[in-house]
Amino acid sequence: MTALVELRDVSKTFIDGDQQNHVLRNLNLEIRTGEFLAVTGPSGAGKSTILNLISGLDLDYVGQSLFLGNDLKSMTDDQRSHFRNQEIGFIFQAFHLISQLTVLENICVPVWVSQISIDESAIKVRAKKLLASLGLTDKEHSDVTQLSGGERQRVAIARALINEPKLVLADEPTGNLDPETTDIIVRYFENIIEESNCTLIVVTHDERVSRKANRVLRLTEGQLT
Amino acid sequence: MSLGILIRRNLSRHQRRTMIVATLLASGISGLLIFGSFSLGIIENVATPLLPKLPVGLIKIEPKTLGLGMFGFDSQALGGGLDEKAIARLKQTPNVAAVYEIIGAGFPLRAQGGAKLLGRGIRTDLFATGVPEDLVSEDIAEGYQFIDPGPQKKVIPVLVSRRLLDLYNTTVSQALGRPKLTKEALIGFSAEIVLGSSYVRGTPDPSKVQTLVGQVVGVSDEATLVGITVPRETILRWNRTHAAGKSPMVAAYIKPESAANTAQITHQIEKLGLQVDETQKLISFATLIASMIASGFLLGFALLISLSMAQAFSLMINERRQELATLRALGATKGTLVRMVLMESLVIAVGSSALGMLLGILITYGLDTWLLSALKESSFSPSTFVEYSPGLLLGVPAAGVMAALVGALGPALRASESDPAKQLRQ
Repeated sequence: MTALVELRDVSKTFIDGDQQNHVLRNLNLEIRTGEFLAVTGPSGAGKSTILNLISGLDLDYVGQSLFLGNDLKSMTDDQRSHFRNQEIGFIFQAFHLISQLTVLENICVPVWVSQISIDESAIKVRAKKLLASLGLTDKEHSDVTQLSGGERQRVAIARALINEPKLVLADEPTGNLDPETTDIIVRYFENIIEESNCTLIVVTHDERVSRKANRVLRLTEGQLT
Repeated sequence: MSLGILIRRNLSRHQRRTMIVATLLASGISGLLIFGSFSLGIIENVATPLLPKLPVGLIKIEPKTLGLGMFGFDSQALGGGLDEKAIARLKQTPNVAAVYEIIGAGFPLRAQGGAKLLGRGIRTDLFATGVPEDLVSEDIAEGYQFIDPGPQKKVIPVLVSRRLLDLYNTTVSQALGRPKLTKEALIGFSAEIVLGSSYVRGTPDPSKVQTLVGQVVGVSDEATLVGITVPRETILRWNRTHAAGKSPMVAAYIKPESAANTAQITHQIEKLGLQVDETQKLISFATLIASMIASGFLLGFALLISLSMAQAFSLMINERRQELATLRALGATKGTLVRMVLMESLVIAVGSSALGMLLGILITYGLDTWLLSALKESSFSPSTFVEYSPGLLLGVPAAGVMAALVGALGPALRASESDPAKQLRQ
């Protein structure tokens, strides 16, 4: 059975002045559908870089990054954009919500920027359903700048799920949250896996998160263990 | 795609900057409209009535003058210049559609009358020229004809110069304390013409003196400035009677097949040793300079708007680097980002253009009213200093919108090319 995500002999080097920093060294990784994978490791180890390689945001590496057997480097830029839009949901540590949009509008952004014709009312119904499942029913017309950190991250989760992706990439999703809120977010992650059967890759320092994962990989000196 | 909400919200979020850019653009557009409408108005209502109106596509040729110290000689007197041979050569010049000869009167003549029109009778010597009817057919007033009436008829159709009428209205009428004359007032006016006699040259053969009536049938740019213009056949007939058949050719008009051939034909004419009317050359030169100034202003304006838009959008995009990177991460293509930024620019440009046009029209109206009232007492006051043409009304906002889009294109492309992974890390 083809892996959902596969990294084959991936090496990545950052050049900082005269110094070369080998972040990833001949890294190999296979991720199956429905997995909840946590990637841990020290700061600067290259955890976020793995997410960028998997999503096709970063193409400056040696080796292959495959999604359902398709090499991301062989796609055109528009194909990669379409792939990210349809197959991947992003959750960031800093939320990266668009401040001038309301909660409901932020959730709809991935649909708006897609190249696919859409039924606006159907999208709104789906967005409202997601908001309800994340406990934000009364916040749909709120200004995102007025929300708490936990509420913002829940909006970001809803945004990541609006296009029903196969893969959700979360980069330090609880990094800016208190322990209580972190527990709430982790519960939502477990629900996502259960209800939508999508794959979740979480880069985290937080043991509360990694404890819940099916598989935990530690990135040290460019290698996963 | 529902980028409309994003575009609307982006513009309202950057309200202050959007307002500054929009104000700048609207000012530029109104400035261009004011400049354009006054330029057109001054050309149409001030310059044209004061200068001889040169018909498009007609080149006037005069005999070449040779200067020897303080004296000048018509080259025809020296065996060259404008004659039948020259006309034949002109007709064979490439790209020439037609050649019209202007024949002069080879005998003295004078006129008397005008009391009804001018308040008192005038007696004056005259020059006369004869032109073919098809050269001036558009200038003949309705109900009149410009053909030789023959020797039996006393009333001769006459054309007067449009510039003479303008000169009369701008100078003579005031000196005489008489009202200005319109073209319509002149049509049908008649005065006595005495052939074979003048106050300066006397009466060479009293037995041939003939008194006729000249009736104005039109006002023409091709009519001689100081005198009358009659049908070609009339002047040839008069010359046969009063100048022993000698018919001096005083000028010729050439009609090029296309206005684009004018410069080439002018060059050919000068190679033949003939002289093109200097006034026409001067006006062509003045028009060229004016066009260059106007084009320079237009280019400068477009550049200013483009740079302003580029600067404003660069700042706006710089503030939105993370937002744009997020959009890329969420699946927006580079093209989508370019379209989004250009659409924002287009919204600003269209709104600013409408505002700029409205402001421009209001300011132009105010300036025109003020100028007309300030110049009310002057000898020359047009009905308006402003003219609008469809080209101006469509071209100005179109230029503004284009300049804004060009200005926004660079920042839009830069935004699409920025590395989302790098931006999201920061």
